[in-house]
Amino acid sequence: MTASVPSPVVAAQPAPVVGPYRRMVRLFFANRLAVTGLVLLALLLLFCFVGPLVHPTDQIHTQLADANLAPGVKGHPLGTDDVGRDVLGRLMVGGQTSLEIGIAAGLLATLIGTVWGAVAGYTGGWLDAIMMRVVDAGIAIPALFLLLVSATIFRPTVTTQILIIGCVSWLVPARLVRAEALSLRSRDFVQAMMAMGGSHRRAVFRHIIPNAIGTVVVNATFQVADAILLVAYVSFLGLGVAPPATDWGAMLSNGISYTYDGYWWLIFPAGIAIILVVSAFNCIGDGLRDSFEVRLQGR
Amino acid sequence: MTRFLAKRIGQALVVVALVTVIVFLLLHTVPGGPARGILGPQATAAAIAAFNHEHGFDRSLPEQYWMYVSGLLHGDLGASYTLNQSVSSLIEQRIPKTLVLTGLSTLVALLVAIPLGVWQGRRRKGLTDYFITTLVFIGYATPVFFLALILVIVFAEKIPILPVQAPQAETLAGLFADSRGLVLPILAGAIASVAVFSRYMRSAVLDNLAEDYVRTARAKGASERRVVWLHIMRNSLTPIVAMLGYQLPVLFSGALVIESVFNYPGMGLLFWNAAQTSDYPILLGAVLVIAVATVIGSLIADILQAFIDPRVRGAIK
Amino acid sequence: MNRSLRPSLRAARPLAVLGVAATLLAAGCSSGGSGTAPGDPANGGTPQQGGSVTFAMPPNATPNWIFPIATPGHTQAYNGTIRQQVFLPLYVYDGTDTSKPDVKAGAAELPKYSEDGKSVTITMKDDLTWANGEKVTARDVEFWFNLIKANKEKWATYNEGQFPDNIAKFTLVDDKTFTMDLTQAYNPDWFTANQLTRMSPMPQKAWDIQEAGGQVGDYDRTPEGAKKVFDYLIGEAGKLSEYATNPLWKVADGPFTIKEFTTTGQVTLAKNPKYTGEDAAHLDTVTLKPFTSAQAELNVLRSGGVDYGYLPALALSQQKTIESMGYKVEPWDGWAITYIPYNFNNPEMGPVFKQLYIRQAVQMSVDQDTIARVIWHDQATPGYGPVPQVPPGSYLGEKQKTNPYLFDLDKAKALLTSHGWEIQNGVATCTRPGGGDDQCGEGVEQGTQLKFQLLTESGSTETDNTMQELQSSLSKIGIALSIKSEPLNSVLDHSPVCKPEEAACSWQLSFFGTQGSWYYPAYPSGEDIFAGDAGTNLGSYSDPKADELVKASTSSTSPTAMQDYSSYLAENLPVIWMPNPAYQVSAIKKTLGGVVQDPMAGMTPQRWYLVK
Repeated sequence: MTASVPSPVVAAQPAPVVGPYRRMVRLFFANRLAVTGLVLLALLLLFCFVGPLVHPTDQIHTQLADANLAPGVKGHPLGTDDVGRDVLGRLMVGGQTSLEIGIAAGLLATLIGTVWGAVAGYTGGWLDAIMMRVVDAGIAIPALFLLLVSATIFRPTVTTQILIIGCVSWLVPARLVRAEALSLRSRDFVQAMMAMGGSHRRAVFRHIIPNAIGTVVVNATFQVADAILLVAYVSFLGLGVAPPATDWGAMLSNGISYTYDGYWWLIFPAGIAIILVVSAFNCIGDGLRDSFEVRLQGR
Repeated sequence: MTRFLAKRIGQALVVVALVTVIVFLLLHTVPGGPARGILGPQATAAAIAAFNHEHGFDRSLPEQYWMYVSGLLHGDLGASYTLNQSVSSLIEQRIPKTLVLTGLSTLVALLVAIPLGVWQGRRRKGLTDYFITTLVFIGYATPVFFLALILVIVFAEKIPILPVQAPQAETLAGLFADSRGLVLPILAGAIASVAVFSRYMRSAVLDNLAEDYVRTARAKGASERRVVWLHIMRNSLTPIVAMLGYQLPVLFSGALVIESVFNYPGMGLLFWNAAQTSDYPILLGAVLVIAVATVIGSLIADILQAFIDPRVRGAIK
Repeated sequence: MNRSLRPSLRAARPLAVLGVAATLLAAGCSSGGSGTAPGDPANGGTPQQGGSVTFAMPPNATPNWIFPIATPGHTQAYNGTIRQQVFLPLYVYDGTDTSKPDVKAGAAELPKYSEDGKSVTITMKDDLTWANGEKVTARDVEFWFNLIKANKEKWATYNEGQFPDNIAKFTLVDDKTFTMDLTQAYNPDWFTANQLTRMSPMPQKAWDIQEAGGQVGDYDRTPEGAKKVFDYLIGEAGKLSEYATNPLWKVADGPFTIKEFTTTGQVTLAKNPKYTGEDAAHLDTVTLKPFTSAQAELNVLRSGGVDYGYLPALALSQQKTIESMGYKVEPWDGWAITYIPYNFNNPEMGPVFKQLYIRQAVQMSVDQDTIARVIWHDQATPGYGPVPQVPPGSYLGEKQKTNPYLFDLDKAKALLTSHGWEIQNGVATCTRPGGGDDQCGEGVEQGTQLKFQLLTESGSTETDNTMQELQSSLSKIGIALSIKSEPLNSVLDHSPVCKPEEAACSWQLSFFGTQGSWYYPAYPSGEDIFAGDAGTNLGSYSDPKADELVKASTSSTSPTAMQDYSSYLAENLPVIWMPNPAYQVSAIKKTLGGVVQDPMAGMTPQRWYLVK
């Protein structure tokens, strides 16, 4: 399918059932960027969730006497923030929040989008028209507006953030899955199943969605990456999770106020962490896409 | 084609109507209402009641919505609660500035991203592809406010060659007169977009390389250059064009952050300040304008797509 | 460079809150002519006549009113500042000396109260004239009074029972003098500072008109006529773009007239050549510039574009840079207090808040000194009671002078445990309900947990950090505080005065004091915030003794009335007292003299001058 991978479609081979998957895995691991992304993600997860066991810190209480200490002072490897909390430890708990919200919201968005898109695409007709106009309208409203309004209604906890971000970012997967469903609908096996009197629900959940799984999985990875970025923006606008919890975006935007004091440890660790994790997810998504494309080609 | 157009325009109208309903409902179900914030804590109950009456908050939601929509149909977006001006004149003042900012940064992004994407697509899996992909991913993964900060530190602090503040002029001419001040905001906007556009371009090129018409062209002995720049690029532009239409709200959100960081007096700043002061008419007006622009944008994108890509044209007929 | 990249988030200054001050000060505040004396060594030059000065207004301050009677929505602080330069109020105060008005800046001589405090006689100044040549007379005050009386419910500053309800009779004595009979005895200091400052003579011979192009008459003397006149004038006042041209607004008696008034909020005042008083302007023009964010202002300041601007508190590290550019940097202290109201009517936590020992424990957990020093970089002053702590004056009670509840977490915790609270999983839980001395208190049920919810203003790192510090120390005594931040206006929308059964009463604690919670008029009595029935008693604090003391402070002539009130509330804790941030940290060009940073947030630009 591409120039640099000559005739990757060893098409006619009727592969055994596990074949395409094994092939996919092999292809994925042959993709250097994807592997790098995976390793990076694993390291970041370890850092955030296992790190606090190795480097326990008090992230609940402030310690004004120790505010803005430079790295290395008083046993703080990355210094302290403007209320005296250990920055390295804060990076870990902040990362937990960012990752939890990002991953859960990305998956939630994918889930809503997939079901919405599959139903619309499969059903077609006026229901499809209505459902897709809702999607169009959602896309036309800046997500920021929705976030601002919801922030005044709900108390910002990890759960509400997941729900809010999930609910504003399901639109793109919905369009993608619908397109997929439209084309699958006309495929022989779905037609055949319908002819045999299969239920619509069965058609959507047993055939349309599983066959669109490639699109869905790849998109989910990108959704997670975008959700993590969105969490950062939300915090930048002052609508993030409430203290003492924090996330990387909140740490970054708080640190930015101190740029000209030279407190670099308040800015760069959090900023780089965001870049690393978002890039990692994008690399993985890219690798997955390549693998899935090959599998689809093979079918 | 006419039928297609009529259908698309009909859909567009439905979408705009839906947007007004969603936005209006959301704002007006926020508990408390804006009166106390606008009038100040010293406002008496009577003053608050008077404000609520004047702005219709004492009526039922459908009635309020109808008041708003009938105003809209007469071209009236309402008046700001705090700025002593009509929303339409406020938007009129601000929108050209935001258009300049987003337009120029999108243009810069496209000029970089299209050749980059084509080039990468043709040299897939090469070392340079990996290298550029990595850069592009990093660009994509950097929050705009962080990017802006780095730009400011580098180009205004360490090597002080550019001003940190965007031009403050009231008019567009004044804006361009101080064009050095535009560089950093435009750059910040462009970098984020390059990442998105070049990725799309790269995968579109990859898809097209495998298409029959490319093989045909090659078989006919067309030079590689001609194949790439004429055939592949033209057809690969389709997804970019399609995306641009839907990119508007995203661009606006980006503009909001950039305008805030560089204090650029555009729509984004107006919107943000209105959100701070619960100035509902401005919020409603701004969202509506963006929604309409998005809907029109995607409409134009569809039509353009039809012109660029003969295959889409076939599908429409 | 611009230090706080965090955008305009800091932008929303509590204009609404300042509005309180603004309207009360509507008449405005001005200085006793002290200020930087000419030839001040800091300036090292000789004062000049003429010249132009640019003043930076706070972010989002958009002046939008010029008429001496403000209707709701038009009470922004700078409306008052601008108006009092054009139309002189009866009395103007300067917060550096709150004991008496700055007579030079007003339109009347000092008021004379009768022995029993039930009537007041006021004589207008002799030398003031309107720009049309007419003298400023007592009739001009009557005109204002008649319009207010007939249209009081449209007046933004109207509070039932206060002006004009407390005036039994308004009598013209002669051309220059009038007498007002009051409905009861009032404290003269309070009445002058908090009521008379609202009055402002208006050119009756030019404005007593019922419709455009109508004849001037005595229409204001009937209620119907007064309504018509009022509506006409309010209609004209709504045309902001005509402020510089409408002949009505040209009839000024103040040291300045309006030269420019744009819809984006830029206002230029020009010296009034027809001003006949003794407080004439030195400068030719003063321009008040609007800004969308503090950092926008900072950028312009750094480029020397304003003569009188300000530094965001976080940008204090740039003080040296700014000073090297020819500015002096001075904090502008506010005649204000900053606090967090308890919502005593909250159905869940109301009964808990009503326990004095709980409020004491909370107050003892606020480390005001460290918060002011570390978080506010010394640009905030710890506050212990209802009277502004600085400048210290005769109103401060003994108990409020020093902190009655020193920061002491052990003592705070002991207060809880000795009243039947046990800390379970880090949260204090009531185990001994009941009204006894060692029990949780009336209305607090067994198993109640001390979990408070706080609404706070977003956009300021200082405020965010203050709340985190509060959360941290409260958690050490077993109180779990959950924080929600919102834009200032939303915080105000979401913490109204309410009854327990209302849905709006779900708020428990609320903070809106990044630039001070409450700016006082010259006489800092509590009838608007701490009296049981006060309009801005947000948390419905109710205490019979406090009500009595508030009443005494406004109506008795006892000189200790204010001190008693101050002492009692400092101990009774109607709210959580917090450090009071400076109004702003000003940057003033060294070539600009005559500036007084009035703690009541007023300005007297007529006394500014340039030095060579």
